[in-house]
Amino acid sequence: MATKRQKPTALQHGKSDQLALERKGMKRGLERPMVGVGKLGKESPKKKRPAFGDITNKDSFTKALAKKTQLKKKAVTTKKNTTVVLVPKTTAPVVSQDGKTSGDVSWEVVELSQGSQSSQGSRSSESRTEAENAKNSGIAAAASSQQVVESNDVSSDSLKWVDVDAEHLNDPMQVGVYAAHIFSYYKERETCFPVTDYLTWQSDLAPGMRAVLVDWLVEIQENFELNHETLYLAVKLVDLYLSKARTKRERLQLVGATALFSSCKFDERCPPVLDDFLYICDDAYTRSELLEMERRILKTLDFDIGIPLSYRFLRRYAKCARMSMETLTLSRYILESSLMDYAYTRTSDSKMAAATLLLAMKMKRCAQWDDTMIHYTGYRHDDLMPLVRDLNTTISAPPHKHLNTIRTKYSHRVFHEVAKISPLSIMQLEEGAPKMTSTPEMNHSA
Amino acid sequence: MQKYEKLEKIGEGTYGTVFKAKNRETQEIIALKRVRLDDDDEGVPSSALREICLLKELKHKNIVRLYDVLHSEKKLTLVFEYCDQDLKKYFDSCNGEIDPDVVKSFLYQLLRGLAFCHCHNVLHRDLKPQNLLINKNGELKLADFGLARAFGIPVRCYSAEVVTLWYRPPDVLFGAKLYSTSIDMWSAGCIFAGTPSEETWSGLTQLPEYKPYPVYNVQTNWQQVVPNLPTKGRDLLLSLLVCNPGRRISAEEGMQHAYFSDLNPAIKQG
Ligand SMILES: Nc1ncnc2c1ncn2[C@@H]1O[C@H](COP(=O)(O)OP(=O)(O)OP(=O)(O)O)[C@@H](O)[C@H]1O
Ligand SMILES: [Mg+2]
Repeated sequence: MATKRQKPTALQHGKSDQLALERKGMKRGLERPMVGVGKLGKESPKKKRPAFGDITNKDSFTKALAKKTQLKKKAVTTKKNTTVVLVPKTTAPVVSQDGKTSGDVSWEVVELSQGSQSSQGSRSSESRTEAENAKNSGIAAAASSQQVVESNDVSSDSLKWVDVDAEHLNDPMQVGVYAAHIFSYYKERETCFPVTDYLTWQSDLAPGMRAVLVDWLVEIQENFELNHETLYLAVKLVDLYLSKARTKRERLQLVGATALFSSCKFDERCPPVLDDFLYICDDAYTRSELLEMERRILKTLDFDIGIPLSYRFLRRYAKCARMSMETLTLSRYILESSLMDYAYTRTSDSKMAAATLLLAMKMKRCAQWDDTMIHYTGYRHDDLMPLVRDLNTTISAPPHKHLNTIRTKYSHRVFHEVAKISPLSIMQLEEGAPKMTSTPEMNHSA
Repeated sequence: MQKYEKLEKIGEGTYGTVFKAKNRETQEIIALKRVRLDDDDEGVPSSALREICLLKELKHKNIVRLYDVLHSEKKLTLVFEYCDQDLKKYFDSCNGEIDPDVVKSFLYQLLRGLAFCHCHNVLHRDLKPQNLLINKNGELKLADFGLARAFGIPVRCYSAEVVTLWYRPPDVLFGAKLYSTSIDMWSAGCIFAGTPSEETWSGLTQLPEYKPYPVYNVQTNWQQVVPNLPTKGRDLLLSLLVCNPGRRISAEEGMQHAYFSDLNPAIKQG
């Protein structure tokens, strides 16, 4: 199994793209070190992680790590059918003010889109959009166009909330007309996807193994440059599948890889090919095993995998809170860290999103959980606090310390180095409770 | 597949063959869309996966109902409610003699189906007469969600390779990858319209694929079919066919348009 053989990797599939890039004189970009690779260089890929001992096919995991550099290349070349250019990746994920790049530059593929010609140097269209949103909402907030609405929406208290969609009604990219409806629908729908306490009866599995799996999925997400939604969906598919189907530990990685395979098909514009997934498992599984697992997972979940994900809620909530990109990134770090911990799998996605945002807001000492936030999230400050405390513990004393992919990822400048922000002490966490200024009945005397 | 008896082939798509069939137990007539799975293939095609997931989620009278999915090593079969024909065949069979009330009803139902998709976070991205199914009793249903996808808010970049050229809005035609619910609204307009007005908008010339020639001569069925579209109808179509996606009308707004004020209330209630 371990003998070397020519691997039919995605490099073949991506040939034409590579040629296209060469023609454009941009091939050199492919040889540049990518973000994340340096980190891998430091950390010896051969090094066994303690938790791998829990998983039988530990070699596969470890070897998969060794191939990261190649994966990186593949991730670039697998993108098909898209107009791509390589642009310098700046140290900040937002458009640098002068459009120029600073000293520390790596290269990445960016798909041309409506806005990207004017703003080269942005890290990705997504963050660019968000940066613009943040800017726009800031402007709108300052302007007198604020609409304050009074309603009895959440828990019958009358809330004074600001309609964050009002300013975007004519912006098709913000989907102002539909956003509010979509998110209330999502909140209803998330209850259709309950994860159960499966480790109580999955006698062959343990929380540590799940953590190793999630950590590995995060690495693949980074190296294949997948959307974060894809990662979150894959983890959700794993948990939903394990809630229903007894699984042996030798097959856990297969479940994870296949879940990612399916979530890529669902969410990615150009999903990596099946061979890539066999490859990252170091051929521990065969093609037909993976295809069979795909059928199993889809059947078990009844093909119903359009699941509202915490990552999506977070994006929405951060927008409602008019948070900066940095605070949003900090929340994302906390939320992604929570993926590793089995204890959170049974908490609803919207609540996870709200709590991580609240914790990030406390850590950055910015803004308050006001009526607008209660209105849009449906959660009050005090409803969230127990979870916020748990999350604060999770990031200050990670339960799986040796698995540090997420911490390393968010220590990078691209992610504002948010993983380096010091967590709050218990004291700080409690005194950081917002003073409610809006309505008197909001004072949580209880 | 013993449960269903194939009766006849009714369509051949890019990723599947569609059959009219009968449920042997219930005698119910249904439509089967069969996707072949090859061993060295990629498993379930992403278009089929998305179509299934999205249709599991979108249950509405103006969206074709997915009853069941049969999945084996060799093939994937989607079991749909059966509809009598698609809108293209219907247009063709009418020879330009469509009752204006039928048109109004179809357009209304199309907008209603779309509004439902859009407020459940789904873009269809492949609206055209072949993908709209109709029933003898005048119902219209959106079908073929093979190119559909859930969108993020705010929307992210998607592929510009969506929607058959004739129904592709100018912003996407010119390479815009940041589009939203407006993409479907344009197509909806095209289906029921002739050549759109050649209004331009700022930003157009900056789009990557922009070429200064008039590409959007949308193949018509409308003006030939109903040459005397009432002014209100024209007005609605023009608001669907606004080039600038930001100013294009939404499905919800479209349903409120004065053109529908005299729509048969039975259809409005559905
Ligand atoms: N439920 C149905 N009832 C009746 N006819 C149907 C039904 N579903 C599909 N058809 C017919 O089959 C044709 C192809 O179906 P569909 O568009 O779903 O497949 P497709 O493979 O996605 O096609 P393409 O990619 O070419 O658009 C339709 O245009 C329609 O004529
Ligand atoms: Mg079709």
